[in-house]
Amino acid sequence: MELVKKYVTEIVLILGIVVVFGTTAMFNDAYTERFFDNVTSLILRPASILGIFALGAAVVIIAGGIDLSSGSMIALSASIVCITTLVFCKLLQPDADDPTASVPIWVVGAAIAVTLFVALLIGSLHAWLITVVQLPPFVATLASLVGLRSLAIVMNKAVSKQLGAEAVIVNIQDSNYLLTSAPWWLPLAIFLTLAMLLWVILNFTVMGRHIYAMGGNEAAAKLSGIRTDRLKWFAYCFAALTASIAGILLASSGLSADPQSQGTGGELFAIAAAVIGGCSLSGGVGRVSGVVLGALFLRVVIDAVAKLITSGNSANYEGMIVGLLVVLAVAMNEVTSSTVGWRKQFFPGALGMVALLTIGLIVGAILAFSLTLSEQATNSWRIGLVAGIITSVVLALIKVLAYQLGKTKPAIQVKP
Amino acid sequence: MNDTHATPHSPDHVIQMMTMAPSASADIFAIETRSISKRFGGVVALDNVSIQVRRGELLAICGENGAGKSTLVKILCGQHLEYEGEVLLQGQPLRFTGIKDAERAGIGIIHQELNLVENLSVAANVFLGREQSRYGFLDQASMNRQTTSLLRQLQCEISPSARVGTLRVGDQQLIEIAKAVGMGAEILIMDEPTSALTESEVTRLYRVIADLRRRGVTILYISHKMDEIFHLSDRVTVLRDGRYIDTVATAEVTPRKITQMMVGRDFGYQVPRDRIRSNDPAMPALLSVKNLWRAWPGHARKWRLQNISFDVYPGEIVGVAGLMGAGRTELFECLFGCCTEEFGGEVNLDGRPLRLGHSRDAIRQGISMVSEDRKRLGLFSNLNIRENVTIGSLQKLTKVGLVSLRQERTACQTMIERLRIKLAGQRFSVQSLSGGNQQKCLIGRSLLNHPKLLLLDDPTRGVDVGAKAEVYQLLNELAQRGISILMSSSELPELLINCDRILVLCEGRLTGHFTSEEATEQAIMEAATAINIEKP
Repeated sequence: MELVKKYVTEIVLILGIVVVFGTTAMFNDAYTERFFDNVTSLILRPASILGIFALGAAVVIIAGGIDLSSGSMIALSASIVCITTLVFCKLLQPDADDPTASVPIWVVGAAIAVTLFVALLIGSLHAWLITVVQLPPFVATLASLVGLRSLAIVMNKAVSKQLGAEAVIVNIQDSNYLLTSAPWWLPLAIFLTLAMLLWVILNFTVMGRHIYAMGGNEAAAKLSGIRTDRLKWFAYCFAALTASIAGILLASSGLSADPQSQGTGGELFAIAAAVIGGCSLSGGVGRVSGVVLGALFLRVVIDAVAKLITSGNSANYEGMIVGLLVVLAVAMNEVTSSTVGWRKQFFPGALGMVALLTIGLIVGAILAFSLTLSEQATNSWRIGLVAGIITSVVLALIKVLAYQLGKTKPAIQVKP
Repeated sequence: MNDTHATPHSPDHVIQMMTMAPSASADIFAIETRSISKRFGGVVALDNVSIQVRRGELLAICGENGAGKSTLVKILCGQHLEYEGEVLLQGQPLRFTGIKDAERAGIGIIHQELNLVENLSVAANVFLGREQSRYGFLDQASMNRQTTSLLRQLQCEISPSARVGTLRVGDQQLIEIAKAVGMGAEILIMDEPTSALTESEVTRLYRVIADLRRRGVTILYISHKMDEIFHLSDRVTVLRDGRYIDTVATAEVTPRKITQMMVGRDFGYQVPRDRIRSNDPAMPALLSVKNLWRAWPGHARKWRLQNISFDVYPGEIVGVAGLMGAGRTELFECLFGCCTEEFGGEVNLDGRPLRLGHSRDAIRQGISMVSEDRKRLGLFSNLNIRENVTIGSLQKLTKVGLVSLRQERTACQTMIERLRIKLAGQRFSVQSLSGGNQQKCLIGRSLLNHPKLLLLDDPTRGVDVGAKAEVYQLLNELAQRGISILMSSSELPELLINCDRILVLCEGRLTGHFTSEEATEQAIMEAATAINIEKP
């Protein structure tokens, strides 16, 4: 029973994954027809790449900080790995038309090493900005979020101009580059290895314990003789490194670096996976198992919605899903940890009325829009309207119920 | 009389109050409490306190730390709403529903920590929460005009459009006073108003207070500084241990008499003093502090600590006494290397100069500290009991780079047994423990670093009676083993029964140094309130 209580997040997530996956499989024929392909290429591979940098985000969050830079770090890393390869190949065969047609393995290794090294430098820069310049983590990494992506674009243009034609997107011709033809399980294996490594660090090393302590109470950690600056250095470097690995994997799957699109919004997906996996944004709380399942759950849900929405670009829906899941996960956490529990009044006063109508409006709108875009586009607006009204009414009932429950508590004394 | 007082905040009433001479006080008091008691959990903060403040008088309330002054103030200004007993305003019993309500009833409060919005202008602060508007827009001109006239009444020239953050503390305090007067406060409560002021600002405050009194404002003045009390007050009420002791006319008593009333608390402990005192003068001192100072940027006084020199011998318990703000915690922070401000002086441990850059340095050189604020600076609420105890010494509990659970459990168990911590299991949340046991966990964390010198900042704060006795017993045992202890306490008797020597701080200076034979509560309190000590 104690175990159940401790691992409630993981249990809920496993159940969630099974239910969502099962439902999708039932309604979508593609799942059953090409089951293996679906599971590997649409769920496990993207979930692994997301999970890799979600681990980095989770370490920073557990340490009491936040890293907003991972999306841009992914773009920069993908660009660096491709551009270094290009430069090396050009140097080796200055006269070839297609220098990247066949990339030697040591060039690949060198390019990866350069990329990871740059990631460590960026992570160290974050740590310096936070511990020495004393910027809030939010600001320090926000600067990287906007800065690194544009740095990658400029770098690609400049280097490609030097080598011939100016271009933002760097393509590699060798189809074996970066183990692109490697089995589907390579990202998964990297992900699980990193997860194991992090699990050992967080649970069985002095540094791991100190990270939890710092996240829980930084002032007390300092007074206990813990060098919090070094822990932050590690945390931000680990985050940058994992984002960089994800970037290399993305470059390998597309055989190109496109800093304008690769990894956009990655930072928020990573934070979402960590939060859904039970990490507390106030620090000190979170487990590797939760983050792994959180990333998987997020991917399964995104994929399920993509399958159920049969037309249009399913990627357009990802933002809504992530937003919804994060709000639900944090609200669940709030309810289970608060003393009031389910008796909490979610819709008090005027603000509550507005919130209740807004939620109804959003539900109705999402339904109407997605039905219109789908093939069964009949009555979509009417269905949306009805669903929106029903949602508002149900929430209003909850409001009344919570109010009635709350009224049983005696009111505070007033002036006689 | 009663009819007019039924609406105490009507404008007519204010005028009437202002024209009334202070001597006109009949049996109706401006403010009166009848048998007020207030409990926080099991701790009694106020026990059956009845005070009476006459109209137009300045009543000083004094008492040691924890005497109940602040609790009383918080009840009178509507901050604490649940209490037993009655508050009467102009003879009318009432119960405030909140701070706003008390303000409307004419009670203004000048907090020790000023309550101003620093990035807003003077006028905006004076009218905060009751801004004046015209056609839906703020009426800056009118508010500026009224602020100027209010400040002129207080005889000070501060521009109403100046940003409060740019002003000095003394000016900020006057703005608080102007704000209260502007709200029509007839009763002003001042909570240690001079604690952050320079000499000249204090003189100006005295002038403002005299002026307010001429206009019939009743003042409740919380302080423990004897010179102020005797300069300003008509009568003094003394509280001790949450109980009312007495009220005396200031003209009829001496400062010595007041300190006598402040001390003499009940304290039912006897600590067996069976250890052999080892502060043999021939022996070298373990810790030797010479001319320690600590800066206080932005404050009128410029320094938090000045010219502190003392020694601590092996196996000795040295107490640091002092009232709130005297610099006890500040001293400990310097010695533990966790001081954020500039500090200096000569500090030697075992004859070697102490390196104090980070708490880690202090711990490595043999100094451990248990801080005053257990919750904020000690406990990790996200970690369990075992992890909380071992967090400072994990480095020693590893095997091939990994934390050895077995060694960790053993280390924790040793401390549990040695300190007699009562717990359900090492795996339980540290928040499931009582205050006393939490404190023992923190002491255990310090001891796992094998310190030569243990700094204990108010170690029995928020600890229940039984656990206090155990902590005292423990201190005795530790000293017997040769560990030196430097401890502070807000409770004088605690220092008297535990310490071999007692240092007294007052406003950042060392104003007393007593051996356990010489020390009496009276002598310490006189040193702590700086009677007989020249102002610099």
